Amino acid sequence: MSTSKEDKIYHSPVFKSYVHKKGRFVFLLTLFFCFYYFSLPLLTSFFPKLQHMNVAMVSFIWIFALSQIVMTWIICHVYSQKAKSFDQEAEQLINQYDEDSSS
Amino acid sequence: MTGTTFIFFLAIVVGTLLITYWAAKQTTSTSQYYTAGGELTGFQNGLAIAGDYLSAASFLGITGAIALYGFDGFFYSIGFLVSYIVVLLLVAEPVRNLGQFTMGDVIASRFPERKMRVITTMGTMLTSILYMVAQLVASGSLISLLIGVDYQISVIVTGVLMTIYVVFGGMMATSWIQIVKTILLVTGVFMLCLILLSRFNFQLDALIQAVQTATPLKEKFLNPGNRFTDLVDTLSLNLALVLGTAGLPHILIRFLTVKDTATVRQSVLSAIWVMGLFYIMIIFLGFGTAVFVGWEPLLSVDESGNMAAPLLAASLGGEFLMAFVSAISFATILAVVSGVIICASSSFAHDFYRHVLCHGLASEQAQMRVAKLAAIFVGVISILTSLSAKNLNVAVLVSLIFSIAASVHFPLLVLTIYWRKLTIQGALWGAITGFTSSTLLVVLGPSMMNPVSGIIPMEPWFALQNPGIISIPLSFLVTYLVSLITASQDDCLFKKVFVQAQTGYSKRKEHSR
Repeated sequence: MSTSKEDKIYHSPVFKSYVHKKGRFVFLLTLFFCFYYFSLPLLTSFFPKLQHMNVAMVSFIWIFALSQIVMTWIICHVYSQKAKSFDQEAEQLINQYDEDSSS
Repeated sequence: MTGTTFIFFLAIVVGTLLITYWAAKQTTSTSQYYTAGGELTGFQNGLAIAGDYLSAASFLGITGAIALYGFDGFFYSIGFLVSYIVVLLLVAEPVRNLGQFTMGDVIASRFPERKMRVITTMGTMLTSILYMVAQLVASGSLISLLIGVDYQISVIVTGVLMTIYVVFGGMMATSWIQIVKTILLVTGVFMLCLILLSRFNFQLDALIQAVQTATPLKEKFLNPGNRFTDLVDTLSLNLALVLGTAGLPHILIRFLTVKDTATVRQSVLSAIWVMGLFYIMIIFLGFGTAVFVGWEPLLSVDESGNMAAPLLAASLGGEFLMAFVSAISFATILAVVSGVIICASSSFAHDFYRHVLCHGLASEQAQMRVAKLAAIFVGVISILTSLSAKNLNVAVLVSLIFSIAASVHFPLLVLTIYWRKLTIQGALWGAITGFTSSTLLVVLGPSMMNPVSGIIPMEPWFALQNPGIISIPLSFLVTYLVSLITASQDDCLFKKVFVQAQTGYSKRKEHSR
């Protein structure tokens, strides 16, 4: 069986570095959002047990909760911005392989 | 039912049927029926995603939850929004690159075996029917509360309408009904917010002051912990919410209605803006309900507080506004259920009929016929189930659906796309484990087993309401172990799938042809 074009792309150093870069970027964003998001249930579950909630603490929790919405907006925008350059790289990579095979 | 309410409801029915009529004339091929020809723009699709996702549970349920539990009600809504990060970062673009019409396509790109199609069809049908029953039961109770018709009649009318939209108008009708519904819902909520805030001269402080004296919780209203008290249970719920959306088949197929990955990203961006702003406005409505409607009147109508938004509308703007808000709720319900039914219909016709029964060889006409019959069949099953399940606890059902989505579909999808060593046995056993564990833990948990009010009158065997924290890792673990045991030289098309998922390779070739 001859190796398919996808196989060739998969093993190419260009594709490897593309996937590595993209993977690292997505991983870091995921790590950040998990940490940020799951802090909220951790905070809210621990604090009621401290009984006395002062006004500053209550406002902080509300602001933190609302900031989750802002965080979602920011992360998705950051990703989409970066994804444009990933798309271009992928485009180049594919064109390169299509030219190789047609020549 | 008053004259105003009747006119508003009639307007919704006539409007949606006109959309269906218009869509039916354009729907001539399976591609149009399943995915609206892949021709929606990012913004349109974003509105449709919001329309698919902002169910009556979001609009009515969360407003009520905020009115009753303050902070914890709002907290619940955050998970729904944050889950779109997972959708965007991990699954949306690969789904667009690998799928044609269904979630089954994505899995089949790596495992073309027919048993995998059977499993994905079953998963899709099951989550869809459960979801539809949850929506229909909720809507039946709501519509009968809103306009005073019988539960049975409400369920039948809603069920028949959703089936008509899908059978005649396919994805085109569904998408445009969802888009119109989102616009109606968001502008309606925005209007209510303005009227509410005008009562406080647009001073937020005044509203926050008022809410702290309005409920029996007093100033504790604004504190966390009025509803979610157990740390592990709360984490479990949040985990299922955040991962579950990426495993909901009716959300995933929305990424197949656009032409490329750039449009997929635009769709998600539009959707999260609309939904984020919506959830922020809902906080005000919840507070407003606590102040203007009050706890006792709210609880006396419906003990889960689902009537919060319509009651608030009544106390702010009288009967006219209440009729308007009720009609919006009705449109919301219709849009969500039709989104789910198109998903079940396409999965049955495309995955099961075309690929499993006909080995991929079925004519366009035959597929369309089967898809429409499947829509009718699923519609009828959901209506009948909902009629006999009036007292079903919808919240339990929704938690079960998200657990199944997060512990069956999510691991299956993510590992198919990203993990080279996944084998078909691993995928199968992981899916089976995820399904059995989440179902079993819900049945043995406190929502079913309760000495006082449970369906099974015993002490619960499993302490948590939400099984996610056990079932999701378990499903991943079983998939991992079985894949290692059954490992072979054959990487099950991984290289091809991975290159396609990451670059959109084959899709681009098709476009350039």
